[in-house]
Amino acid sequence: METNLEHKVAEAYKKQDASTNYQNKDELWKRISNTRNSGLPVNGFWRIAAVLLAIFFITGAFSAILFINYNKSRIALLENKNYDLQVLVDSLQFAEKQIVTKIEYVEKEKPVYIRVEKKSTLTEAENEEIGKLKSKIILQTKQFELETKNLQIKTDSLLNEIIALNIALGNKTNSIQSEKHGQPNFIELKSEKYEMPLQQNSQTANPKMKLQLFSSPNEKTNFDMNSTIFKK
Amino acid sequence: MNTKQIIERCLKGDQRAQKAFFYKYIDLLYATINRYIKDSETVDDLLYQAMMKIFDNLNQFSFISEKALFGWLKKIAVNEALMYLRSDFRTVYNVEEISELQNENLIVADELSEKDLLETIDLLPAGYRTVFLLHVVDGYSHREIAEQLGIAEGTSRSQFFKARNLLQQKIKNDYGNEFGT
Repeated sequence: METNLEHKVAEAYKKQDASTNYQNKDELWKRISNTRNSGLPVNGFWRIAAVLLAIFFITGAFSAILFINYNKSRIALLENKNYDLQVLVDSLQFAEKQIVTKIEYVEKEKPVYIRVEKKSTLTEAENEEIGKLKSKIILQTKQFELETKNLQIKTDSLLNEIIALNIALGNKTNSIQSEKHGQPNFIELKSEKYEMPLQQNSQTANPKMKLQLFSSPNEKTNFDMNSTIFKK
Repeated sequence: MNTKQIIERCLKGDQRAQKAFFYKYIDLLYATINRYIKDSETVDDLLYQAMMKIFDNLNQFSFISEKALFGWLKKIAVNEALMYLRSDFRTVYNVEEISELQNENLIVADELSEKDLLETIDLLPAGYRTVFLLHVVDGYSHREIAEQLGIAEGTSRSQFFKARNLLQQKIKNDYGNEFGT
């Protein structure tokens, strides 16, 4: 019996394929298995590394944002504090300095003036009023001193007039007596020390004035000129 | 566990399934490649490459039947063998004229054993044998053979008929006129 060549060849190979047994299959499987399984841990390693890196970067970014916010809030707090301090410094710088005159009595009737700079807590209007009052006090003090001098001069002149009048009165009395007795009028002058009582009186004549001169500068002094000068 | 389940588990990375798949089909792949390549070390390398390619591309294969899987696996194995042959410049495909007589139907006696027939085919030159086996055993058309080997379709045809005639001649010479006509 005869068969087509190609058909016979195909059949032969089909049978051969079915009966073929590859001898090195174990070795080949080890080779393939090693290649395929060695790739998995590497992939796994890179996956884990990628996850860790992602976590690391996310954590880093989050902490950076928190740190920036914390710094911002801290800067804002410091800026506020700085502003408050700046306001305080400005207020202190612009606060007017008030010159307070402190009087100390080192000796009797000799006041010592010490200039003490003191930061004013008063308002501008109050300071202005105090300044006016001060200048008024100084003016009135000077006026008072002048008036005192004038009064002293007037007192002296009046005393002199009184002396002269006394002398004239004495002379007149003597002349009248001599006219009555018909005797010549002789005037006898006695040499004796004369003390001026009025001058002594003038020193202690007005104790109120003296008291007001040495009154405390802190107290409001009201010089009643009428009561001191014209009331005499 | 059937083939479909094995493939599904292979795709999930199950090593036992992959091993089962390997042992089930490695002989088929070996037989296919060994038809074209006779060097055992080269066959081992080509088998390794083919099996790696199969595992890598298994997700692209949709299992319909065992026959379809066979065809897919054989095609990968043949491609690997042909790629090797294509890069092997020792394989020469001569372009020769084909006479009308060469195209006639060749008949061999049934008494000629398959073993003798296969041994005779193995003695054919590599170029002839490759084209002959691709066309006869693996069912490639001359156009497909030409594309795979990077030759002209006419060359594939001439190689095939030359191989056929040479095989007939060898059978006659080795086993007598009564075995091949």
